[in-house]
Amino acid sequence: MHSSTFSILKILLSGKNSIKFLLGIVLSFSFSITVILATIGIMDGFDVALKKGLRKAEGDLKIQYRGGFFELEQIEDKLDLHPISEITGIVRSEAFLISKDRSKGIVLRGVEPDSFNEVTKFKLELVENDIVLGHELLAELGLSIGDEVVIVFASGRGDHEQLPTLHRFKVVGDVSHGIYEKDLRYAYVNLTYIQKLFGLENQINQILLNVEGAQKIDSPAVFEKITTLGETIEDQLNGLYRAIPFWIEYGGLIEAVKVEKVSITIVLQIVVVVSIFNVLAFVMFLGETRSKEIFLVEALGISKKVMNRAWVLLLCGIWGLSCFVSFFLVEITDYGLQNLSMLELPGDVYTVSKLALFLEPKYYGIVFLISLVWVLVISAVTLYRMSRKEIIQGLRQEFS
Amino acid sequence: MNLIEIKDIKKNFGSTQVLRGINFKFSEGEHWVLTGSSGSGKSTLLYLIGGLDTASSGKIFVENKDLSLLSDEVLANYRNKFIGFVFQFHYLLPSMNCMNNILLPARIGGVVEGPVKDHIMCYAERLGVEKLLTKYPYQLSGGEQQRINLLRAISLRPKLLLCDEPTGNLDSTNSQIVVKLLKELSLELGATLLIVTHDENVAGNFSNRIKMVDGRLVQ
Repeated sequence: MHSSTFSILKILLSGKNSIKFLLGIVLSFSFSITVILATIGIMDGFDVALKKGLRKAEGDLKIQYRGGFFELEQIEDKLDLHPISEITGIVRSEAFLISKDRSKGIVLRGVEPDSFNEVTKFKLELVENDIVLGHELLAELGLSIGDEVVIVFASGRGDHEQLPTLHRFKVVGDVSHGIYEKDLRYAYVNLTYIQKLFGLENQINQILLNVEGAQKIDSPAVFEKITTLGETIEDQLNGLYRAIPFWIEYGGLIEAVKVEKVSITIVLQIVVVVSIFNVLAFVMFLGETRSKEIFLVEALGISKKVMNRAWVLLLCGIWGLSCFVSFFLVEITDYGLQNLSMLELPGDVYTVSKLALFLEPKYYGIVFLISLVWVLVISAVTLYRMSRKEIIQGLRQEFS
Repeated sequence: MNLIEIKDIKKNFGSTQVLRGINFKFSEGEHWVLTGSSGSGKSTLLYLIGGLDTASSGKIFVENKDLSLLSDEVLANYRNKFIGFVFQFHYLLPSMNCMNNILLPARIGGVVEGPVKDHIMCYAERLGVEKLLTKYPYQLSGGEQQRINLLRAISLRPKLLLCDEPTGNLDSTNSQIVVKLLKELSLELGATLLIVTHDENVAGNFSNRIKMVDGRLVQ
């Protein structure tokens, strides 16, 4: 830095009050930037957490036969043509779970543990009449591992088809999907066992599969790949099967969050504007308290260009420092969201109960850039104000 | 060679004409005093020569260079290195001690401080203010402040010393001391001296005198 610019900065920032004010400004500006970054991060974090939860429970693609039950072998040869890394067949049914004096409608999934675990990354171990309940379901019904529950299916068979059938299961564990509704409604039993109960032999009513090379949860290319594969499979199976990408179940919510992210980011510009007024106040404070110095150094040989450079450097320094501090504030917010119980979301309202900020570098770039634009606007106003007065006028006014 | 040549300088403040066509020149090493009553335009002329203000029309040549054609940076450098200002109200910064006030031109001009400090210390002793350099301006008397002001003006060995009512706030004894110092210092430094004053006693110390009345030079 040019020594004369440095001298001016030293003069402008001399005194404890200026430094205290400067620190306050940096904190308030960085806080405003953090608010915007954290909001975007929470929105994207919600999006990622929701998709992770859905993918955990559903795999990449869900295939269901429009006619009800079917055998995997019927379409296996056609699915083999595609880049599918893991696949599992399940029986999905709705039922009632009765425990002690309470009952609740649930989604029961009959799964073959080995292949299901590969697709979903769960670690289910289910034999015979074992049942694994969603984490919230277990808690809401006040059940513990080892308890027995009764599952009520809609109708019986043969002579009893007008009556429900009841089957006893033993709770052997609980799972967390990361999505509140699924944790509250889902239960898992052994596929072979449920097929035997329903008399289905090898039949299933859903296939869950993962697509090769589609690990990244937030990549648009991955979404495109899964969507395209689903459409190809539907075409290949003559429209008799529906291929549903994992995010479709909450597609409306995901879309709404995306729209909300944009609108909230725009609204939150107000926060930046408020802190920019603080920066402006600081500039005015310096302009007033250091006006003697400013006019005198100009009289003694500082050019307008150097003076302007000093102001721009000062304001850009405030911006840079604020961005730096906001980076750490974002990290602290993220830590708080993940570790402080007071910051946990009510899952029944927000679907996911735990969030982590998810911020792509481009969002840092955009938010920092927008705040820089504001700072440059302030710089322009400041320089305009400064250039309006002749040196000698300023000297006489300030020293009189 | 003329150090300064002023050609038909006019200066207006709104509809008020303060300078009405000034023509004047002076050479290197000369001592001049410019007198006139309050509001006659003498300080305005001084600040135009010093590059602190711009003329409405006319030209000022410094070593044959037209001041109005100098860039902002060259003009700033001219104020910093070529000119030494002695202001009536001292214009010492209250937030800095005297030494820092004196070193201000060197600092903003990016000049190495060591030799400047040696030069200042030498003259501070002569002016009897060497013990005041660590004090703040508000701790000094008017005469002492003016001597610090003088030290700041000569700190970078300027070619032209411009003094605006340098004795305006001083009693007659201190006035004579300051005038004597100005003459001695400018002689030693080989600097041209231009003093603006309304005090006839001060003006009496100089043989080169001009008078300004209503924005015009009359003698």
